Amino acid sequence: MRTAFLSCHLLGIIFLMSPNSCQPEYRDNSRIFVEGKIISQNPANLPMKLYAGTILITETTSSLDGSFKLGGPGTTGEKELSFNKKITSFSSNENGCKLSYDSLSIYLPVDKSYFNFAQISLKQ
Amino acid sequence: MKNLLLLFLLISTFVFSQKKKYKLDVVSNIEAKVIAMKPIGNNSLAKNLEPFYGFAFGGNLMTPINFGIGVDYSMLFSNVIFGKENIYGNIGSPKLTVIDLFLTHRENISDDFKVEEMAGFSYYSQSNLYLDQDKSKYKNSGMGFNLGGKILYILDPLGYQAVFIGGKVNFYYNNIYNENPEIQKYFGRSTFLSLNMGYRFNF
Repeated sequence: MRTAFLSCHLLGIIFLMSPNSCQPEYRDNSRIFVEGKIISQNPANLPMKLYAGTILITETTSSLDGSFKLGGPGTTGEKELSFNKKITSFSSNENGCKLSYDSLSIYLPVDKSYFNFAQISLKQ
Repeated sequence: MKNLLLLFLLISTFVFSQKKKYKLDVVSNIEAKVIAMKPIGNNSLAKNLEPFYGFAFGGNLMTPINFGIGVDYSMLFSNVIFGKENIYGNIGSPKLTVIDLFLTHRENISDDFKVEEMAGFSYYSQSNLYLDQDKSKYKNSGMGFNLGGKILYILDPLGYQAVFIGGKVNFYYNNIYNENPEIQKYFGRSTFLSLNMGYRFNF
C-alpha cells in the first residue's frame, strides 16, 4: 500500500519531466519551401512569415509583382503562413492547406515540404 | 691459394652485396593550411552564401614509388548574403566541416619543386545554429569526391620543411529532403572550388 502510494508520485514526476511532444521541433536534413503570388490592389512589399508553433522558420516581403519565395529548415508539426491582411481566397498545389479561423493565415499540412500558391487574394 | 683468396673475395662481395635492408621506406608529413572556397552553380550554397574561408590540418604517407595516401580535416565558415535570408531560412551562419580521404601522387620537378596530384572521397558536415532554439544546431551531412593538386617548394636542404599552394575541386551531395526535386537539388548539391596555401613538415 505504501509503495503503491510512492510509485504514484514517481509516475507524476516522470510525467512532468517528460518532454512536451506537442511543441514542434526542428528536423535535420529537411527543407521547406513555399512560393507563390499575391493578387491584390498593391501587392508589393507585403510582409509574411512562416511559423511552426513558436519557431519562426523564415520571413520575407513580397516583390513588386506580388510574388514571394520562402525557404527554411524543416520542422515537425503544422506550419502556418501568416499575413498582416485578411485572405479572401487562395489556390494551392496541396489540398490539405486550409484557412485559419481569423483568415490571417494559411495552415500547411504536416507531411508536406513544398507548397506553390498560384494565387493568394488579400483584402484591402 | 691465390685463387682461393680471390674466390673468397668474390663470394663475400656477392653475399654481402645481396644483404640489402628491406625496410619500408614510407615517409610521412603533416601540414596546416588556410583555405578560400567558393561554391559554384545554381544552388543554395552558391547563391545564398558568401565565399567560405577557413583552415585545415592534414597528413600524408608517401611510399618510395611516389604514391601515397592522405587525409585533410577542414573547417570553413561563411555568412548568408544580405537579402537572401528568406530563401536560406531563419538560421545562423553555416559552418562546414570537410574530411577528405585521398590517394596522392608526387612528381619531382627539381630538388626544390615538387608537384602532387590527388583524388579521393569526402565527407561533409554542415551545421547552422538555430536562432529560435538555444544550443542546438541544424545539421546536414553529405558525401562526395574531390580532385586536387598542389605545388610544393622545399625550404631547407634536408627537405624537412616545405610550403605549398594548391587548388581543389569538391563535389557535394547531401541528404536534404524536399518533395519538389528542383528544390531538393537546389539545396542538396554543389561544387566547391578552393584555393589553399600552407606549411608542411616532413619526417
